[in-house]
Amino acid sequence: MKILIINSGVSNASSVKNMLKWIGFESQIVTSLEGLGNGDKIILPGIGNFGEAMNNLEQLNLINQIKDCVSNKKIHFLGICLGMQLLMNSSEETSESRGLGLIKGSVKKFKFEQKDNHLKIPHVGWNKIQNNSNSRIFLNCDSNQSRFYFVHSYYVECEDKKDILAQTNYGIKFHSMICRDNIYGFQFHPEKSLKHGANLLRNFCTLK
Amino acid sequence: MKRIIPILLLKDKLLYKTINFDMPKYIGDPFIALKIFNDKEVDELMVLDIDKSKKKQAPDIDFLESLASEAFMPIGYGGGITTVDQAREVFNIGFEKVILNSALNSDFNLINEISKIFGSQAVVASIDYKMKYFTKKRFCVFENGKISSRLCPKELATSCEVAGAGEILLHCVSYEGKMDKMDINFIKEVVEELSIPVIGSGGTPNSSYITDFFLKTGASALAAGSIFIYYGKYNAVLINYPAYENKKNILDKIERI
Repeated sequence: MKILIINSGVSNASSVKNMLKWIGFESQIVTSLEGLGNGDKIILPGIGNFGEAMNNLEQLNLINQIKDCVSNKKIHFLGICLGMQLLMNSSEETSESRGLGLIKGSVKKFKFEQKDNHLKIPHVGWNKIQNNSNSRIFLNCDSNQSRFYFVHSYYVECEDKKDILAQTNYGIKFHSMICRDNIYGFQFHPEKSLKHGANLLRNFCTLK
Repeated sequence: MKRIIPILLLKDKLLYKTINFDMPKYIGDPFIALKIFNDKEVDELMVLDIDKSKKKQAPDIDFLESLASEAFMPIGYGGGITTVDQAREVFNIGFEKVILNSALNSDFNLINEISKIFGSQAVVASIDYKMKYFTKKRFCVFENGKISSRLCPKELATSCEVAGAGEILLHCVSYEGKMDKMDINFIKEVVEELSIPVIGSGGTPNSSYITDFFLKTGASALAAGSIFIYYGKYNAVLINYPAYENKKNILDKIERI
């Protein structure tokens, strides 16, 4: 099995690689997706600006490669943080570029009412998830005990409620884990969430 | 959720602990400390190289890369960062945050330049200050406490927020390492003045003090060295950190009030 981590310019690809190594999976940081087949995995981490990240993917000719791997070859795909947001159709962060459109929905900016104005933006820190599914990705994950590290100002809103794996509360309830067929998205950073994140990544890497 | 952050001080790639930013005492191997902190599930770590600015040296990227490769929690680095490119390297090798102190004195624009590219959440302004013995007047210091200035730490904190810093690490050098008390009232003043998170540091006497610290200051986080490195009344070196359940009890108390 091959695990490829896409380096889309501004990214924390090396943290993901380090975490995978810690839990016993070798991976490669790449800028193109070639020679992938059944059972292989693709991870798209990302930090920074939505429009800039889409431009980088386009310049690297990765948009078509990702769509081909995910839609035709049905390779398991995980978007982390901005990488998850890129899966959607569009984002309030930019009007100039569209997302990958692999999962229906949009990316919105946190806006808090007066009563919640003690909540800072970005949402930075450890938070919990409420998992709404019995997906295999939650194997050995007790959502009462688990906590994850978030850093984001924008959040994903899925159109189809069936695509929601878990939600997190920060002023509002937002979709912190999503999945459609072979495509997964985590808003938090599993690579920086100690054993809790390690467990989810292990489950992703062992998807069949 | 409030955070409790161990600070690890580096010198020549080894772990040290200081008192009032002085008298560095050898503690041990940073990799072993890091492994223990992974197991103890710390919220976040801050690694500060106490020699780099003083000696005008750049961050030791290869060494930091190997350190970051074993840090599976959010981790910040400070020490000798003077350019955007150095900050970029520190981010690329797996740190989430850069911590600036000497640059606040020598090149204040750096805060803005880094936060514009990497976001304000990635920039921590570390404001080190001392107190005059009799008047208790507070003044900022830089380069590991070696340069004194007339700047008031509260005013500098406000300027850092305006410039784009995402967090302020407020570090009282006069109390640092003494494990006696913290500068509670002043930390509270700064917390009330700013809208970004403030991390209070310097002088935490023990872990049962932590609840009081959060209740009295309203700070977003507490950073400390000695209490996570020393153990018992003879200060034996033993890396420790409140177990998650204990920590939850501490923090639940705060959130209930």
